[in-house]
Amino acid sequence: MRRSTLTSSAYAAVGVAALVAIWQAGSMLTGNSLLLPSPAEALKALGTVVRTRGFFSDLWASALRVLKGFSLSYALGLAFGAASGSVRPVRYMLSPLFAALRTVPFISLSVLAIIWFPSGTVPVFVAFLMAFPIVASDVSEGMASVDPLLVELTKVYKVPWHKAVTGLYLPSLMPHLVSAFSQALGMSWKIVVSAEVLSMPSKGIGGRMDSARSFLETPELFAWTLLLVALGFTADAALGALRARAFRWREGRLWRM
Amino acid sequence: MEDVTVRNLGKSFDGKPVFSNLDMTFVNGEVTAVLGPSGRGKTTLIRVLCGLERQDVGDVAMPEGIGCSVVFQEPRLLPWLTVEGNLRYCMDGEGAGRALEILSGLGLDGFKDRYPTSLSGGEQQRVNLARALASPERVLLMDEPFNSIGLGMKAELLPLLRERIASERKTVVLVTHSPVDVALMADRFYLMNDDGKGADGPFTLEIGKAGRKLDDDELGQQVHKLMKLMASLGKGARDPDELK
Repeated sequence: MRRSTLTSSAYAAVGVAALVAIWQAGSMLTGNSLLLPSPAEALKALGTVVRTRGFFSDLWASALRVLKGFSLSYALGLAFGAASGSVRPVRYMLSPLFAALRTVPFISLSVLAIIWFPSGTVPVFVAFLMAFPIVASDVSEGMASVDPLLVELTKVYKVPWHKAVTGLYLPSLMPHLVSAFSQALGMSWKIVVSAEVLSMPSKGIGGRMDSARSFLETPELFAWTLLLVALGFTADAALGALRARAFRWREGRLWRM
Repeated sequence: MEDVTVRNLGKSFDGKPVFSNLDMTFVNGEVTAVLGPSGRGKTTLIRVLCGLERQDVGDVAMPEGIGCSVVFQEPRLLPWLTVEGNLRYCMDGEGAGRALEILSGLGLDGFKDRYPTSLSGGEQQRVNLARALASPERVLLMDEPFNSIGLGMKAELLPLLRERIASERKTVVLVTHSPVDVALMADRFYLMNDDGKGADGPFTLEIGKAGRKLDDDELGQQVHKLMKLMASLGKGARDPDELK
């Protein structure tokens, strides 16, 4: 187990090194930091960005929107997904909504939302609408994948409902809940920042990226992007640890709770 | 009346009859076997008895307020729970403790913290058996319960089963294709007819309520008689007296 973790992170490091090398080569070829700044320049810009006044309040404003949009989509996605996964007519009624939300371009939602809402609410609303169907369909699929033989076992032995929820349904859904969590969170970050670029709230990463664009501060754009990637990596790593804990029964070994 | 009876029971899927005209009495305090080759609806009979399926015609008379425990053909263990967690999922702590005792009697002492994926098929099936045996429900339904369980282990089961029948006043239905299982365990048995219409029986077995293990010779003779009976019934000759 430990050995495989080590080798997998070693491979990941090789992957990162390759990406950085390609990036470096590209920036050397173009030789123009306005088009493609080098990794070193981007890191330097990141250092500057982090030290600027208002950095943390911008980061916090965006993070708060992500948190709101994500929580809303996760909570409602859970409820709608569970309903659609367990009640057939509900599934049929909801499927057009999910399909529509999955295909609608984020830009048309953003433009509408700008008309409807104050600029700070737009990213929350759009992130919610984009992440919600992901969570809902993942949870719905999870409900459908609960082993029918174990559902029968639960019926025959008259297992009380709260035991069935914690003993059968939650563990069956766990892989779907975890994957919906990471997908919805990643999606929320992307959408919030993109929508901020369009709706221009007074605080937020999107606004800072837009002004960096208008002043042709390409290294700063890269710096913000690096920051978002780092945030995503951290969230994934934390979730990976959680997943390993939740699925240790698959090891089949002598574990104690 | 503590017996479970079925009258004129019939069930079909998509218009194809699985069985029909079943009349059977499962006597309280006894093991009644239903013997027949695969595809005669034995599993469906179990599913109707425990309420997972509804019959098309006929009646199932179950004494008021009495529930079932089932030994399923498959182990049906929750993979994310330990052996003990699985037992506690289906019954209270007392029942789970009883099941763990039964398990140690079946050679699985000290297995309570193991996860199902680390058990062999036979070991999983023993957990399935212990779960149903330990359940306080008064009707015990067993659907080919001895899959991947050796003859020695089956013989070990008999006294356990008798003890549970006596202490909980259980009614046991054992559905199987194996004459050996019937000879080992059953007090009486029915033979499902080849054409799916009705069943013959009940026939009584000598092994009876004494609950003693048969020695090899006795077992061999019983199985031989059973095979002969099955063959003769298959040919249309009906001579239950053959089996004394």
